[in-house]
Amino acid sequence: MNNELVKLNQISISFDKICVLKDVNLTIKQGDFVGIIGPNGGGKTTLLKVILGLLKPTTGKRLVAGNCILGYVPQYSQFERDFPIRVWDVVLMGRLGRRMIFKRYDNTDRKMAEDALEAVDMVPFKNYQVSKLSGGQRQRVMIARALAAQPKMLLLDEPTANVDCQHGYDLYELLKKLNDERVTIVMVSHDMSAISTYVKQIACVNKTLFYHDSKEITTEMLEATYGCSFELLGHGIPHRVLKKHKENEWDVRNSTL
Amino acid sequence: MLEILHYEFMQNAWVAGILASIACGMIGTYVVVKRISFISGGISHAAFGGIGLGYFLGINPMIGAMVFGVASAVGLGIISKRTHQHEETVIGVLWSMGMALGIIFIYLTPGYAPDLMSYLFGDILMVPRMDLMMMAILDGMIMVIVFLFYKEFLAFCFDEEFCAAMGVPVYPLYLLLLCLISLTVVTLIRVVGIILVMALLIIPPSISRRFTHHLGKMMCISIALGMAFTTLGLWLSYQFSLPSGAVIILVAGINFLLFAFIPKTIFLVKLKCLIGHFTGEAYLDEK
Repeated sequence: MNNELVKLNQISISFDKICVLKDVNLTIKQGDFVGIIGPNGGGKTTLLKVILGLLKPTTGKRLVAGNCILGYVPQYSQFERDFPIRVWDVVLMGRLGRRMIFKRYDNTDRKMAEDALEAVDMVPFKNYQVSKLSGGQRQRVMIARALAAQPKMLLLDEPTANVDCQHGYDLYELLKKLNDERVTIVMVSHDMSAISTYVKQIACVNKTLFYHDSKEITTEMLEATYGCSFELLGHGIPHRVLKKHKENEWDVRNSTL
Repeated sequence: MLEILHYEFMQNAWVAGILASIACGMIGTYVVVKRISFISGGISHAAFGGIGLGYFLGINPMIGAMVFGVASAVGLGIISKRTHQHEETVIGVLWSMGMALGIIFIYLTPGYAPDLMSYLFGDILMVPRMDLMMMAILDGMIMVIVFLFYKEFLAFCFDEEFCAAMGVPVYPLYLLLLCLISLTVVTLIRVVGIILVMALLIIPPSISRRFTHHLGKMMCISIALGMAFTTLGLWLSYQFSLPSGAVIILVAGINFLLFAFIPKTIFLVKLKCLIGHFTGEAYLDEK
């Protein structure tokens, strides 16, 4: 599998006989930055969980390269805000998969956790309780936790859902930096403008998957995915519209879709 | 106050309170942070079936309670995973089925059950040495398991899904936690009884979580609080000749209300600093 990290082969999954994903094929390679978009209930999160191995597909195969460690940054709303835990303990959790049951975290684990905190610029907050952090800071801690496992691939579920505009921008910049350091990134997002700025490949999910090995979103893709006709930002030539935005334009174009 | 410890039954009662506090300080902390107090209520009431069975078979009801408690814990985990029933529905069913079975077993047992009330509401003054031994062994087991699985349980309580993504066997861990709850309930039955178990399990950790945000320290403070409540409750019940289990729960409950209604007073801040001093925790101001 040379530089292919994850390969999904004809994957279908249904819950209570309702089909959520159908015949999905997807190959993610080393260094990719994949944005998963699609309507609510279209199966974005499901796809992410299939890649992670959290959900078993009804039919089809999921192949993961042997040396590929996956880092997961769940959607924020999932855990309790006032849980009695410090930032440091949360980040150490990322080492769980690397540490056998019964064994305590050792110095290597602590070093990795420290590095991960540094990568997201959160070292000064090490001893803070998680509930005392802002939305953006908390999201950084979650990214640090995923990074502590030294993953080859980082999977994020709507990383900016609870984060204000400026911090969302910082977060994407951080992801871009990580991606430049050869961490493969797969991200579910509603944020089309961010997708078009930062992402290299686009996967549109609405039960079925349309995969584009470039960051250009076409109207055909969107129409097929969202099931209604689209006019992309009203610029006239559909195929060009979401392309070639500069990164500093980001917050101006925040209200699309 | 010390002269009451001259009586052997008082010594036993006090030791029982201390032993129960250790188990419920540790496991109660998980129950509170994972928000599964309803589950612990279900398990403790289901254990009543075991007490009835113990009477019926003529064995120690505590052993029956332990078997029933663990069985209902595992059963709960399996039923709510295999069927599409909501967990709280399953808990409600197990809760009342355990009680119903207990009543049928006791009805079928010839003669009458003299100390049935003591299992329902606790009678710390009647704890035999044998049960103290059993409580000590259970405490030891719970302590060893919590120590071995500390980091897994912490991660599991905080973020189950992430745990699963990291390859931690989440489901067995969940069953293990439920079993630990049932063992804790068994140690508590003698002290406060099945019906009152929940209060002693939940109140100490819900007070201690205001003083620390470290799970291990939260456990230690909860144990200390539990010991204080049982000791004070026992002494008061002796002084006023009131049922010990109920007095212990009232002491705990009043403390809970006190701590809940005096938020951020100078007293609380001072206490926080004091505890922080002992646990070595630096307090960052509340932003």
